[in-house]
This record gives sequence, structure tokens and C-alpha cells, in this order.
Amino acid sequence: MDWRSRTQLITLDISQVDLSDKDYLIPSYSPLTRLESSISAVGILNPPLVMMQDRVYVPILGRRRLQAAVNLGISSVSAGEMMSSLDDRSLFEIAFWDNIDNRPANPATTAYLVKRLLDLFEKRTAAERFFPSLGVSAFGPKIERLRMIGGLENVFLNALAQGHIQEKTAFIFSKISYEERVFVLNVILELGMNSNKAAEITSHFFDLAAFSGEAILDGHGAKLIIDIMATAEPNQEKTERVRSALFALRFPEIAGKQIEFSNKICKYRLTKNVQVKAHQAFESPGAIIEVRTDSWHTADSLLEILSEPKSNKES
Amino acid sequence: MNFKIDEIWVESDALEAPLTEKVIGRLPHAKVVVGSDIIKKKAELLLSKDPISRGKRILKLLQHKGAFLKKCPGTNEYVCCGLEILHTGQGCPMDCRYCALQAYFNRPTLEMFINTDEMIESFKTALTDQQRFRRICTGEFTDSLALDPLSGLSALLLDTFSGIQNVSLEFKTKTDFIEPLLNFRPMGNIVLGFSMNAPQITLTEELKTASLKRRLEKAKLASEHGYKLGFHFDPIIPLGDWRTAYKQTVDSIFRSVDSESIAWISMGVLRFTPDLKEIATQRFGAINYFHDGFARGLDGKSRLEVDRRISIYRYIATQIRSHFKDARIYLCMESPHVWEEALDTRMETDEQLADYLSAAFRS
Repeated sequence: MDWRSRTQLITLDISQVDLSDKDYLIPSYSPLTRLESSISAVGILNPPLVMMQDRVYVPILGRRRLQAAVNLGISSVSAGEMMSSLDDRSLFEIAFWDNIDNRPANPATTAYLVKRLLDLFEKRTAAERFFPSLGVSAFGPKIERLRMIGGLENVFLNALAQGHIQEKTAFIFSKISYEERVFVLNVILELGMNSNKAAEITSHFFDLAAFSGEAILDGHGAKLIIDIMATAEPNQEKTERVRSALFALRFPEIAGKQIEFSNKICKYRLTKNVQVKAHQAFESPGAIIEVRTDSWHTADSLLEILSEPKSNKES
Repeated sequence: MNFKIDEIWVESDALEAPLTEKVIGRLPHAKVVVGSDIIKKKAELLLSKDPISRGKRILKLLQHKGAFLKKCPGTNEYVCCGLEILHTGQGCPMDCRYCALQAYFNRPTLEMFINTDEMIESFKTALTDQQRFRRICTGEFTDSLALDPLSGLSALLLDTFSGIQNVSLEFKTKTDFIEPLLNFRPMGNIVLGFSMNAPQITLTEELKTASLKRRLEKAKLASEHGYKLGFHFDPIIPLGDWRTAYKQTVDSIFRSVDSESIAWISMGVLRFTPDLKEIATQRFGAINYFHDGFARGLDGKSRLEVDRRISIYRYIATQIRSHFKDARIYLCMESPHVWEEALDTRMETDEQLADYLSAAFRS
């Protein structure tokens, strides 16, 4: 693709650039601090590439450089201007190949690009020409999952890129309404939950709503969580209350058994080297007792007590 | 019932097989794809919007290179019945929304193994001089009879089995394709197993399958012809007024067939891998019951809470026993605790369960 011969070097008034235009965006989700330091020190080394569309310039290459310049109060920079128009696909492809090697490999960027490539190209073209560079398999359900995540608003993609939420949480977000995902993300961010706990509460919210047929915000879970959030407790305690409340709604029988089990254990004054656990999801009625010993001698004595006597034949 | 096959993909090692010729002859409107064209077609299929749906209309003919006889993929954490699978092919032209095969295979086409001579030979060898009773089934990775009008495999298997002692063969199906079986006078070791469910579940979740009424009509016909019958309530999906719904199905079984012809009745409440929930939702949109209180069980699959499962099994078993006190009811992949609570039966080991089921052929 010969695009250099169609460009000319101009002095670009940055105020004429529409940095919100996303046609050729290859998102990064990383802060501009280092780029700003670099530009402050040595200026913009490689001129960005822009194109005039509807009387404003839209960025094709160097969007972050232009944004950093704006942040630094720079009003004009040298830039290349694309003179004759290429189609959207070709321009996006220039942006893709220029950026793909220096973008951090985060799931938000990948998802955004999968969605954008599928919007612009035939699935086969996207899968064969571009997906390998993104580390995405050309086949399988993962593509659809990424496409849906890639359609999320920036705030959610940013949360994904920063590791506040996991891909599976973002996928659930893509299946619920904007208001619902804003609500759930706010709970996660306000409480400073780690991404595992965030995934857990999101899937509880989603399953409860999907099973009852109610919207998340109309469900009992949301009401309970709003009440918990309004308390003055420390975030860590609120987090545990939120988790327990949603778990109890989603698995009432297991939650009931957990309380019963805890009450049983409470009766014993166990030393800290003894732990009593229930079987996974109370699938079996028994318990697992774990005893840690400081010496083999103690272990030996305990095992003597617990073992069945050996028969004469065995001994 | 008939399943539409648009394309037949013939692998190079299957080109000369007599069964290949027979299948192509029976599908005159299907496009035959051979050689390197299969690779192109495969890429097209995998890139399509719903490869699983499209794959159900593509029949691949190939030689099976691995073992034909396999242990049913049970897990150590629950009591397994020790069934063995005769691997005749994989994939199913019917489309149950809950079907585990959607997540189990990474190849979406239907596959039919054309090296049936090898299949029969290898399995005759495996079954010679055996000491213990073995139960074999063909309907685990595919429906036993869905492609039988094309392959004629049931007749071949019935011929083979008539001479083998100490073994039973079960055809498990959701179809009504039993006619070829009626050309045989079965020995007592052949079971025709029908998958059963609540009427509403069959209607909305078991797409392209025979209706319950048809299945039961065929079950009756088969039992009158001398076949033993199996009924499989699996997966049980407790939606809405599930008690009335499952009672209705149980009642209709016993209205339709003589209880003495029933070898066994199995039950298994829906359980699934997390993948299945995602794949099925992608294909069919939201499926309400996948969002019920399924928690991770001992085998990593999502299962309903154990007491809920027990009450479901107990209820359905009571309905069955109200018609047939001595029904040989068994649970698929449940713990001894569930067996005891649901069926008042101590079932501690896989061997014990295998013996319990094999006894169906000794009485």
C-alpha cells in the first residue's frame, strides 16, 4: 500500500484535530506520563499522520503524541497530512500495523481491536491477516467473546486494562445494560475489590437476574448491596458482606449449611493447628479435619490412635 | 424424522470404503467434498457464525484410528456405572440446547467411522474369554440411531452381538428410527434406551428430536418385539412445576410399555462445565435454567445443591416405583450419600453399581 507518496508535511494547529474521533484508534489504556516527559525533553521525533475530514483533522497515526502535546500546552506540531483519501479499511490497517508492536498486550486492547477489525473486514480476512498478530485464534468461541467485550464503553475497557476486572467479568458486562454494568463496576471500584472477588459478585448478580428474569437493578441483590454500601463500615468488611449477601441469594441452601456448619465448629475450642472444613459445596455430609503437627513424633502418635489395628496376617 | 445433510466430507482414507459408497448413494442431494477441499471447507465452517449448527448438516466419513471401545468418561469423585462406549462416530444431528457435546468436541461436523469391519473385529477380540459381564453402549458421543438410516450399523451390531455371551448392548436414542432393529429377533442382551424428559423440556430444549409420544410408541413396539428397554431421565431440569411435568412423563411410560420389559431407568440432574453455559448461551441466547443455583461440584462441574438433587431423585423414583416397585433405578454420577438419601440404597463403589445393572440380565 503506497500511502507515503500521498502525504505532505504541514505545521498542524492541534486545536484543529478531533482527538475524540475513533475511526483509526488503536487504544493503549496506559498513562501518557512517559510520553509527555519525552516530548518535553526532545519534542515529537516522528511526525503524526492526520487527514482532513469534514473540516477537522482526524488522527491516523500519533494520536497519543498529539494528546500528550495538548496536555503539555503545545499548540502546533509538524505532522504528515494524508492528501488523497484511502478507504477506512486501508487507513485503519496503517494505524494497526504502525501500533500493534508497541501497544501493551492487554485484553482490553485486544478485544477492542477484534471488534473493530470484525466491523471493518470480513471475518476470514480479520482472522487470517490480523488476529495472529493479536495472539487470537482464528477460530472458536473466543472471537465472539472478545467482539462483545470490545463493544463496551471506554470506562469498562479501561477497568479491564488496569486489571480491576477480568475478561470473564467484562464478558458479563457486555451482556447486561449500561446502567447495570455501571452499578456493578461502581461497587467493585468503590470497595477496591480484587479482580477475583469482582468476578464472583458480577457472576452472582448476572445469574440471579438471568434466572429470575428481573433486571439486576430491580433485584433483591441490588437493594441489599445499596444498603451495605451506605453503611460506615470499612471497605474490607463491606466487601465480605456484599459477597455473603449475594452468595446467600444465589445459593440459599449452601449458605444455610455454611451457617449450620460454622455453628457446629464454634462449639469446639480448636487450636490453630487444627482446621475443620466442609466438603466442596457440602456434596458429602462429612467434614475434612486437617491437623498440622510440629514433629513426626506427634504425627506418629496421632496416626496410632486413628489407624485400624493391623490384622495378624498383615503384620 | 429425517436429518438434512448438505455436505459429505470424505477423508482420503475413506474414499474406497463400501460404507462411503453406500452413504453417498443414500444422500443423492448432498455435495461430496474430498481431498484438500475439505481443509478449505473446514476453515469456512469454523469461521461461520454458528459452526455447531452448520456442522450438524455436514457428515464427515473417515477411518477411526484409535480404540473403538472406551470407558465412559466418568469421574472418580462419584459412583460410575462402568458402562463402556463403542465409539462408532461423534456428533449428533439433533440439537438439544443443554447438550454437553457442544462443549465436549472441538470438531463441529458429524463424524461417521467407515472402518466398521475393524470396529467389529477389535471389539470381538476385546470381548472374548471375558470373566465379568460388560455393558456396552453406542450412544455417548453421538445418538445411537440418528445416522443409522445411512450407516445401517445397528444391523451389523445386532448380528455380531447375537453370538457373544456375558455382554449387553444398549442403543440410546432420542429418535424414532427403530425399524431396522425390528428385522431381528433380539437375544435378551439388547437394550433400546430412550432419553426421557418433562414434556415441556422435550418440546423447547430438545430441538429436532422425536416427540415423547413417538419415542414411547417406538418403545412399545420394540418391547413387543422382544427388546429390553431403558429409560434415561438425563438431564433432569427442575423448572416451574417440574413435579407434575416429570410425573406426567413417568405415567406415560408405564401407560405405554409393560414394566417387565424395562431393564433399567437412570436419572441425572443437569450438570455442566462452565464452557457449556457460555457456548449454549452464545448459540441460543439466554437459557434461564443454566443460571439456577449451580455450584461447583467435586468433579468441577456445576451442579445443583445436593439436597435439591436428592429431593428431585426421590420424587421421581417414588413416581416410578408407584408403577413398578422393583424398577432397577440408577443414578448417573452421584455420590454414595445421594444414593442412600434418594433411593435408600447403599451404593459405595463403581463395581457394585456395575453388578447391580448387570443383574438385569440374570433375572
